[in-house]
Amino acid sequence: MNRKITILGNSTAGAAAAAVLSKHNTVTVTMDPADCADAASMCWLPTKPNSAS
Amino acid sequence: MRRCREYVLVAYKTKFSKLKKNYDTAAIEKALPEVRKAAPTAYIAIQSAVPLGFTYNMGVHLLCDCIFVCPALVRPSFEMQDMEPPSRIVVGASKYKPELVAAATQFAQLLAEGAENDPPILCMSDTEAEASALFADTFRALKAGFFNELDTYAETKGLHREDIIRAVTLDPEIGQSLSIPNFGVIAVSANQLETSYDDVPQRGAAPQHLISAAAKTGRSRRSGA
Repeated sequence: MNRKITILGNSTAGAAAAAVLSKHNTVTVTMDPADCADAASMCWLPTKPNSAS
Repeated sequence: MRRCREYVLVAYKTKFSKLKKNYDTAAIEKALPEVRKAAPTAYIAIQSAVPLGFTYNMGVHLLCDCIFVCPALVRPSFEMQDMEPPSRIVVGASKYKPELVAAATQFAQLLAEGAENDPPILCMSDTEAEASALFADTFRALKAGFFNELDTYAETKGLHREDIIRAVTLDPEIGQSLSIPNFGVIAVSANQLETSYDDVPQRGAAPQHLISAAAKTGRSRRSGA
């Protein structure tokens, strides 16, 4: 079953959680670009909606 | 029974407000009603550092039973390293809300399945999970502060600090982590925990002394640097 997880906020820990959760085939992780741009860049994450394949 | 597979992870940075003597949670308090409006059936996981009881109070304030806490439990600047092979995953939800406990556990399992190791999952009440994060962070501040004070003493007395630190930390019960003296880190969690002890009565060797020391040691080291 597909699960949708949205990450809100500007913490690097949130971006790290997004990176871990994105490994799932059945999880769609979305980050708010306005909130997460800095944090995501520190964790080498895209800030666009990311669907793990 | 509500069938919901959607989660929102709230992960704002929170700073300690000296004025309020508490974490400044304004960003989270602003975001939560908006999340409830945009995704009324979603479960909300709070990952940010928050004062004790914050998650419970927000649930009461927003009249909802969909908020649980999933503290980050990572070291500053080592978020990725600590999150990919986590030592444990903690989630906290009211034990009187079994559906929320199940959702929180499922969220923890998602984090565990994405990890490189097989971390234990600990499920407890929301306030206990908040306390776990604060106490873990404060212990790190205490240990770092201890070796900073060892460093200060060695320097003052003309002693070789590396030799002393090596001799001390080769004890497996002490260990080498956090044993490198630094300029002092402001222990935000210790400040928050110090505030939380305000209504705890003193008994003998009061634990407040240790928590207060953790809060003060980083400040004094930085001001002396």
